[in-house]
Amino acid sequence: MTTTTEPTPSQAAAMRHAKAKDRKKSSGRLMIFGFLSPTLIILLFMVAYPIISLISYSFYNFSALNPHEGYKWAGLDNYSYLLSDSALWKRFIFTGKFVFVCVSLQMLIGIFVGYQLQKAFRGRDVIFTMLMMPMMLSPVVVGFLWRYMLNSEWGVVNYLLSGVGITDVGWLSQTTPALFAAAAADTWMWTPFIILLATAAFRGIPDTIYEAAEVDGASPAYKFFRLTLPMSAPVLFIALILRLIDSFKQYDLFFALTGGGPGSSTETVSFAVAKLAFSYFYTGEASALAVILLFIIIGLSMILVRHLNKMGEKY
Amino acid sequence: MSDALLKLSGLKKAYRGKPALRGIDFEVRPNEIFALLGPTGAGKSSTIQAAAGLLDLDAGQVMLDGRDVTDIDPACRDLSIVFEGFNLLPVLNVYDNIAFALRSPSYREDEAEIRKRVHATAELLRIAHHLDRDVGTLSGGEKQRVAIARALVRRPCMFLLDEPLSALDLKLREGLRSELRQIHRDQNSTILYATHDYHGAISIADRIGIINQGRILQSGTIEEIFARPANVFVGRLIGSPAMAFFDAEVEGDQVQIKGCDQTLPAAPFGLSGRTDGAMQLGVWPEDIHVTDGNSGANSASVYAVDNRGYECAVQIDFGTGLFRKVLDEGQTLKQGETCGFRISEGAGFLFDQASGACLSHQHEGAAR
Amino acid sequence: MAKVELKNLSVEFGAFKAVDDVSLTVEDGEFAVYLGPSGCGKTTTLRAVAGLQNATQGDILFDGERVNDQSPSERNIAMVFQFVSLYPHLNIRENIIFPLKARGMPNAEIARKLDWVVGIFNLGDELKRYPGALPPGTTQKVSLARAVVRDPAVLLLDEPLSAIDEQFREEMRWELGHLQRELGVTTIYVTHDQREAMSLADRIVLMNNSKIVQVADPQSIFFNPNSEFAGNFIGSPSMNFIDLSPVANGFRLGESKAVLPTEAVPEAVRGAARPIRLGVRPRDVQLLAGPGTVRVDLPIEDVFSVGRERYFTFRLGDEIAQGVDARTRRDADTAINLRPEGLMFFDAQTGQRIAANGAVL
Repeated sequence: MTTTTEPTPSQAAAMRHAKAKDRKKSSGRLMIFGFLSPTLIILLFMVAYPIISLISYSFYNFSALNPHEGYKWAGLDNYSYLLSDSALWKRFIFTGKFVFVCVSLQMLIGIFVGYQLQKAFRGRDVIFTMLMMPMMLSPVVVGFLWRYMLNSEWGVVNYLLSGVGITDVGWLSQTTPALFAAAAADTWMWTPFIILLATAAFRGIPDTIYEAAEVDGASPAYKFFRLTLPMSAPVLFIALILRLIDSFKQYDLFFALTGGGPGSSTETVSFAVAKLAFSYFYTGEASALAVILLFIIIGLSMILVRHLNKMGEKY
Repeated sequence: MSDALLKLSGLKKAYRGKPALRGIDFEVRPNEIFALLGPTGAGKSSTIQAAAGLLDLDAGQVMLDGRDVTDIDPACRDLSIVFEGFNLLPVLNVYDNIAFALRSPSYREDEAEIRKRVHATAELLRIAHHLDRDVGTLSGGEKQRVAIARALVRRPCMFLLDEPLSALDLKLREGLRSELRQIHRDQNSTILYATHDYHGAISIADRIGIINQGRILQSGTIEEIFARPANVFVGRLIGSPAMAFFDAEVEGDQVQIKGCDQTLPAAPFGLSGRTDGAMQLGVWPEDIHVTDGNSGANSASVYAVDNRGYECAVQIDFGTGLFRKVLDEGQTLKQGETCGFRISEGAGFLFDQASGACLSHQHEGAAR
Repeated sequence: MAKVELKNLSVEFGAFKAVDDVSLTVEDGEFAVYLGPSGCGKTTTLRAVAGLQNATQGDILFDGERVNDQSPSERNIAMVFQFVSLYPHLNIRENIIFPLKARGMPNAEIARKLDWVVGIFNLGDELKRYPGALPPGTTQKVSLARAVVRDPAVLLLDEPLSAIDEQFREEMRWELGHLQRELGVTTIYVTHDQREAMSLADRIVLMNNSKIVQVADPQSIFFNPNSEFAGNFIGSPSMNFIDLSPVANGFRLGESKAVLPTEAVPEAVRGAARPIRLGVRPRDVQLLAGPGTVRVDLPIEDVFSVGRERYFTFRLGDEIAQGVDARTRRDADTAINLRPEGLMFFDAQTGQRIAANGAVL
């Protein structure tokens, strides 16, 4: 069958060895480090350095405006002052309420819409794209957008409500309505994120599971609560953690909507940090508050992530 | 005495604490097909990757054609791999896929030579008419042929095949297997073939190595394995049907079989050292005679019947276990029927209860 | 238990006919296997019976009642899929009782059924484990347990063993055979593996290109295939096909110089005016002569061991054919012996089998 005189495999190999040098196996480590170093350097300067600076500032009593005037070591004075301030606790409670309302609303609506978008229907892609748009806007823009919509005299929302008979709601002039108004704005902006993640989670469930359930005689509701939700729980939980952390840090919305008012009743903790740092320029104190906030968020995340890992252990 | 072409000694590799290879030792001789047979997860793919250099070993040595290549780059080892998932390059058409290696820096053949070789190889695998097709449009069998062509065209000193046919239908598999065998004969190649398919391994291999949990349990020709199975695992894997196992107790010069009336004399087993105690008796089904009713020495019942037409096989339930057997021509039994069986004198092997290693040292098994 | 009838069933996806006018009956309690290469339509037919796929034309009847418009759960079928479809977040016990809970069965009843199924399948130790932690083969056992716990009218299996290692596949195959006979449930099983079909089936439905090729029990289909496709698909190693061209004292085999004597070919077949192809299984090609064997002079190429058997190849011009013999001696290096009962003749153009009496199957 073979008509050409070909070298035997070992002869050909010998020929090739004469041509090429045997290279030692290159350890991939150098390459990995090379690719990682730009990111590592950026991380170092833009994340590690500021955080370390922040923590060190929090132990000093000084103002960034006048650095040469008093750079006194204050130890934990900043912290004790902050933590004994009842006004600060009020802000924590307000932030907590806000987080709770936001996350609940967003998860419920997001999962529901994500579920509805599972079955293909005409125009689904268009609707999906439109739904994603609120996420693309900057929070300050969204804040101002809603501020105008919620204006008590000429805002669109009150106009529509008057048609149903509800008149003159002072959305942004009272604390509780303002809370819900901000939650509405936040939900409007970020529910698409949950929808996105929910859609991805639901798509990750193989069709055969649903077919098996269909054959087993499960109703759509049974399938949703016993199969879809539990199987997409890890991803949905990640969405929850992300939104939780994010809404804890909320500043832009309140800045745009209420400016912290009336008074300081709609100031979140983040808002307080910004005020301390850039209105009063109590840099040391602001840093301390930021560190407190950081620890709270880290603590919460750790608890939640541990729970997440336990969730994934079954598989 | 032919020198081994590929010699693997003491290969060890652990992935994050989980050992994949625990000391792999075997050799592949020139111009033979060596089948690495074992269940999924036994370490077949890791062994192939180690031989190719795609794996960083924790310990061990890889010798290829007399050279120590343990630390050498895969590209310099002169090996070709055919993967289970074909691993074709999706952006290139069939011709370019096959020619890919020849165009790489290691080879740098000129285009005219490449054209000749690609066409010759494609002819061999009967895909010459597919050469300008997109890889994505090919069927499973065609993709595998392209993968084999890609490996063949380089004419390396050895081929490594990692379950190349398991993604294919049974009939396609059989067809491609005999073609592979034919090509191997014509080209005098050397192949290391990893698979979990016993029938596939024996129909193509000259010698077989049985691997489980990162260790080679036995290697040799199929006749050698039948004559001297080294381990309970080997007995369970080899044979069509596989070995029948009974719990046995050796007392003095008799072997009592649990659940059966029959006792066998211990002498033919050639036990050395510890001669008493609980052991596993393994018997090739060909050495067990099954009869209807109770005329056999041991009574049992028929658990299941496989009447394949040209032969009839049964699974016998003898109370403490099951074994399978192909019945003699003309014999038929029904599921649920009682039957009897008898183990031939001098047949069978004794295995250690704990480790599964073979304890009996017959100079020759009673296998046909 | 139910009798399943398919009447002129067709399933079309746009212009493509996945199932083309299939009619057959599966009797109550029968184990039917749909066998064929990938893409032949067997899985689509199964899914149509299940209700997971709509039939474009034709009727599906369970015990005489038309079920085309019924959902899978209404049809009371149970299905075992190829790739594990156990609910990964539920343990084995919860998986098995899922269909019972989904249908709102009372807890006492569920407990009874669970015990029954656990007893048959011997799953007592596994109940608390999760699908991800099970050894291979056991997941399919659990899928089967979940399917059977509902006492379905029809049990459907879609290549359930394909994803399992060979070793466990054989064990599971025997278990399946044993269980089906015990339970007596009407079973339809889809596979491309003819060994599975031959081992398990009461009747095999051989399909190719969306149509039925032959429906028969394993023995009949093995000894009496109706076409080249059937002859080739069933049996391992595959049947040898050799073109026959008439010469003076018989028929020339392929491109070789060997001649098959005239007496070896039945008269009715000889007389046919069409070109014939010989089909002979490797097991009917022997190295040693035997009673009634026909000797043909062909060079033997290669003899090698496969397990306890010896395979050998012989050459006809460019083609290689195979024989299988248990013995190791041979008469000569240049002769093979054919068993006359194993010689089958096919129309070289249509592939249809020509019986000894000249009838085309």
